[in-house]
Amino acid sequence: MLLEIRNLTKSFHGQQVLKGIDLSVSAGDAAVILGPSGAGKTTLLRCMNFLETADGGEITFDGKTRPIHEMSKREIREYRMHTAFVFQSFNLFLNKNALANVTEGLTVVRKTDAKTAKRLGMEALDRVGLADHADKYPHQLSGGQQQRVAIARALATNPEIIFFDEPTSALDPELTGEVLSVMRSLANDGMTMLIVTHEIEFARTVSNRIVFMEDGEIVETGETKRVFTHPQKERTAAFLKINTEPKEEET
Amino acid sequence: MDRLWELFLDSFPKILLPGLTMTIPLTAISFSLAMVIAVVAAMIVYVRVPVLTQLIRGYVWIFRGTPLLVQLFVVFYGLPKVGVLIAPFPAAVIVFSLNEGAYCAETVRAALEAVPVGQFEAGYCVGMSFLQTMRRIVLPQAMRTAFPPLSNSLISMVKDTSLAANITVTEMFMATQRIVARTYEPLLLYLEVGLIYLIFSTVLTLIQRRGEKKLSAYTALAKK
Repeated sequence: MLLEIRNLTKSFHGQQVLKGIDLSVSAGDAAVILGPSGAGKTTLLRCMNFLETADGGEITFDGKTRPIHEMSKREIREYRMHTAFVFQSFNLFLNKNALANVTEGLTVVRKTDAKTAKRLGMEALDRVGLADHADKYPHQLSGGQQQRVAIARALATNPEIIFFDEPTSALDPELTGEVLSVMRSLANDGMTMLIVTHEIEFARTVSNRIVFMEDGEIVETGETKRVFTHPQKERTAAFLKINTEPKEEET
Repeated sequence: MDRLWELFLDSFPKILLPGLTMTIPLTAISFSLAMVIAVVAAMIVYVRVPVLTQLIRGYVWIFRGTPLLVQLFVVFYGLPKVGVLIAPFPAAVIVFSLNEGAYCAETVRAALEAVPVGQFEAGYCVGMSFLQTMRRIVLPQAMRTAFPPLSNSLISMVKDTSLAANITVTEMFMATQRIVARTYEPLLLYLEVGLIYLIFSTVLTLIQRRGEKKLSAYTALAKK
């Protein structure tokens, strides 16, 4: 088990949005969190990288278990050295070109020397097919390209897990394909990923595990194929039915 | 007419010289200090450091709310009453930097608040600390936003240094007053010193334009 959380809770303004979540991710997993809007998927992902502070719960990472709210700033930074996060709105550093975006975490945080950082950065950009855009600033790139640079930035530091928070939701439909195909290739390479997405077809074909959430709770979790063919909860079945049927009609 | 032209040419270097040796150093030193005050104050208010935030709000309130001339008089003519004697030039530097710092702190704070919070989150997620993200990502973007209004403040300050004549700093305006007292040509000489201030401001405006262009490398305005 690479990463495990137990009984994670979170409230905003007195309203509980995560009601005691248990979730574990194994190395090599490409796990997708599905669920209707407002289920708490994004909040869960953000809590798992400490962008939100959970009210309670425990986290186990690399064999060490800690109560979440007791973790110090240093411990959180240490943890983040091993994780990466891809945002819905890309959040590329606007004052840095693509390569500098990718190498920032190397040179500044991990004290990698400039030459090595550049090589690793170019490798990461190459992996998302953007090596020839290395010197472009975010505003000179399309949304899809920006998100691929963001993925390269996540890859460059060689994380043990990458969190994806609706990585294609801010993109024009015709740009989602390039981002999803990069993610597909990462999954094939065995990268551990925890993905919040509404791309059901992507979840069905790429992930190995599905976590279905509703109303701050995990309704069902299991192997992707099993969840899609034999969902155990009626709610999961209904959600998948609504979200897959129109797509099948189209094709 | 010849006599006026001669006076103009004769007085020009006599006014310009204190401009170069007093007005410009006074502005440069005061504005540099003001920038340090502004950035530190803005960051404290931005992250809402308890107690310090209230102190800074009080400081901004007082220095923005009272006339610059009054502040100069309090420091130079008032403080000796309680045993604090400060020479004219340092007194002017203290007042100008504190006054300008108060205004610029608000400019920088607004610019910091304009940087999307996602920039911080992205910094944290690659492992950077708050200060690293601030220094490398957020502050550079904020300073780009703040650059035009800060340039405004700088140009304003060049002209405001003429008030230092009131506390016996022999800058350009005082030099002009002295020549007027000798020659009785106020119209010509005050127009002349105005012209020199205009030249200074124009140079700064040109520098501002070039600076903005340089800083715009990463914004969508870059190619315009």
